[in-house]
Amino acid sequence: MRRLLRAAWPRSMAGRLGVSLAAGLLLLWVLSAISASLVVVREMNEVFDSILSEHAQIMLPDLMRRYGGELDGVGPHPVVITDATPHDEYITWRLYAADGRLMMRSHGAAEAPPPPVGFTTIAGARLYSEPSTDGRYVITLAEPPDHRLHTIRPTLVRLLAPLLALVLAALVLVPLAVRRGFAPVRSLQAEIERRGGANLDPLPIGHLPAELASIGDDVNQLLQRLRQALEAERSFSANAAHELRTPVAAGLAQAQLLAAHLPPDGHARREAEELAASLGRLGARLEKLLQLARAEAGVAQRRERVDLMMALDLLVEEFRARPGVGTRLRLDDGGLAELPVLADLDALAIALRNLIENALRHGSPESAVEVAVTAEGVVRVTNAGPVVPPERLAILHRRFVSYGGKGSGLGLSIVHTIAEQLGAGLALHSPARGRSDGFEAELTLARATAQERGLTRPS
Amino acid sequence: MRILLVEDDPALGRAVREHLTLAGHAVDLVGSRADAEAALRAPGHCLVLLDVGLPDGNGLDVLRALRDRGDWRPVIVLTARDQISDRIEGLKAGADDYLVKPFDLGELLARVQAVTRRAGTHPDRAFRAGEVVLDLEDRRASVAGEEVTLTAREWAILERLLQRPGAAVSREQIEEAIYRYGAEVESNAVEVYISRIRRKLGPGLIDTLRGVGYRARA
Repeated sequence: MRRLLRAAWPRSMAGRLGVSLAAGLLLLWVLSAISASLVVVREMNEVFDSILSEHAQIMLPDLMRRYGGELDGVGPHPVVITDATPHDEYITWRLYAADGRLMMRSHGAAEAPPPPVGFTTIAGARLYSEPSTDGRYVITLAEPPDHRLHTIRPTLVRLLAPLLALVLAALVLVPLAVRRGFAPVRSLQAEIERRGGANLDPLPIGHLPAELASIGDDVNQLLQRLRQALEAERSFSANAAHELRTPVAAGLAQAQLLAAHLPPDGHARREAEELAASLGRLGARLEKLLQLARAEAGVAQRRERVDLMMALDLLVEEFRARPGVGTRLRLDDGGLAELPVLADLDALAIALRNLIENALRHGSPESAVEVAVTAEGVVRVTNAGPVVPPERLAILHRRFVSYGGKGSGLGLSIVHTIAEQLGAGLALHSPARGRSDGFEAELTLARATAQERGLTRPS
Repeated sequence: MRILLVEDDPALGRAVREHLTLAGHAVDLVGSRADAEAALRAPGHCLVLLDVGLPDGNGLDVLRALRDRGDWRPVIVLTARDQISDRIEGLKAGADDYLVKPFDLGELLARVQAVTRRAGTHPDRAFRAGEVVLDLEDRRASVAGEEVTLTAREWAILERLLQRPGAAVSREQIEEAIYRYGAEVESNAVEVYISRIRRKLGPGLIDTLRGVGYRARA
């Protein structure tokens, strides 16, 4: 039963308020109906009783005066008093002698032994008996059964029916009023639902009632802090990139220049070239650390509708321009003109860039690296090369774990972090599927539909 | 070739200048947006190497201003900004190429040569790509010797793309070029005209750069 009640208990605040108010009103009505009935019944009983006793007191001396002489001669049969016109009696009466003999009765009264003096109720009929002052006679007045009920019932109905109508009207109006009253809550809820991802705009709170305005205010403060944190992270990454990359670029350029000025085949030349190579590696490591910092700051949590094909086109073009890559990198776009996915463009590009970079670095130098896209939003980056043992494959996404000691060991960990934030699936296969060797990374992205709300094309 | 190098880091600027000089180019080095704009008012430089983060402004604004006045000198953006959205912004602003710091001086030189080669392919306003021959002066086009008729708007688009072969031209810029021939431009007009041109001249002439625009294959 309790479980049933719990299941029926509404989950929404409006529903709970509506049910509570309705139940409260009904309960109040029932209580007031009961107490009003009790009061009315008691008061009316008093009035009716008083009528009975007053009548008895008036009738007894009157009867004795009128029939005093005849009463002494009454035999075993009582005198029955009838009126000229027949009628129903609301009150019947009986007159007894002190020894209990029935002396007289009204025509509606039954013949019955005398009841005790005072008020009694016998078989639903209300009776009142009073002795005469000389003690020779006792008069009994009786109200027929249900007489009072017939009088009290319409009174109670007239008293309580309007109240019941009021309660029923309230049961209809309460849910309407509650629904109306909760409209600002629903609009606030809808506004909050619209937030997230690309939309961190403040909630409009000007029209909200005071209680909700403070919640809206708090949510706005949180949104602002989130926005600031994301913006700070983005600008930090951009600034850090600028502040760190430029000096490394200067160092690398100068080291290369120095090497160019030194006589070839000399020791100093080799040293300068080694310095340039080190600075080049520093630059690459720096790029990875900045990417990791961005990924861990949660920049990939932003959602917008971006074209996966555009990102891949630009990345493939960028890689092909690098020395030694060119046509080694192949893009199979599956004949798709565009492929909208829900992601943060920059984060998505970082993930794809790392997958392609890994494939180019770890794949056999002369073999092709294939980037294939399907209409379902799956990107597969495949390279030829030695098979990665399963135990190694399982931990490749951890930080500073690299295969064969090449690279920083951060690439796949960055991809893993970004994929988690994008809600994308990342699967690693070695050997690549459909081959006996190589490595395949598969990234499954959430496809965007045309109806995605609040999303903008970055182009 | 005379190159304008806009780079505010003196050490990097000097090293790049010296390397390019060793390769036989004349390089003017400036370190601010104001100096870059002053230098670009004159037509002396054939190529610009442009840093984005300048102390007095954004290098991309310099590039946009240059393109807005119809100056199509090749520009390679050199920048510490490595995000793909930065790259898209750079290409949309009218950059011919985009190189992220730190870069290899040898690669920079290769890019300079590639961009220069692309920019110099149509000195007499005649253009040849495989079997397609276009004469922009006389507005004549032929594929494998067969004359092909193009409409005024199709020529407008081709002219716009061939101003800088190999460089991206945004949809908006192409729309603007069509506008000059009057009438309304439907929202998908660019795609329609490009596909007509491809039908007439073959699919190999114009590349689609998704999210950026189009370019004539250099």
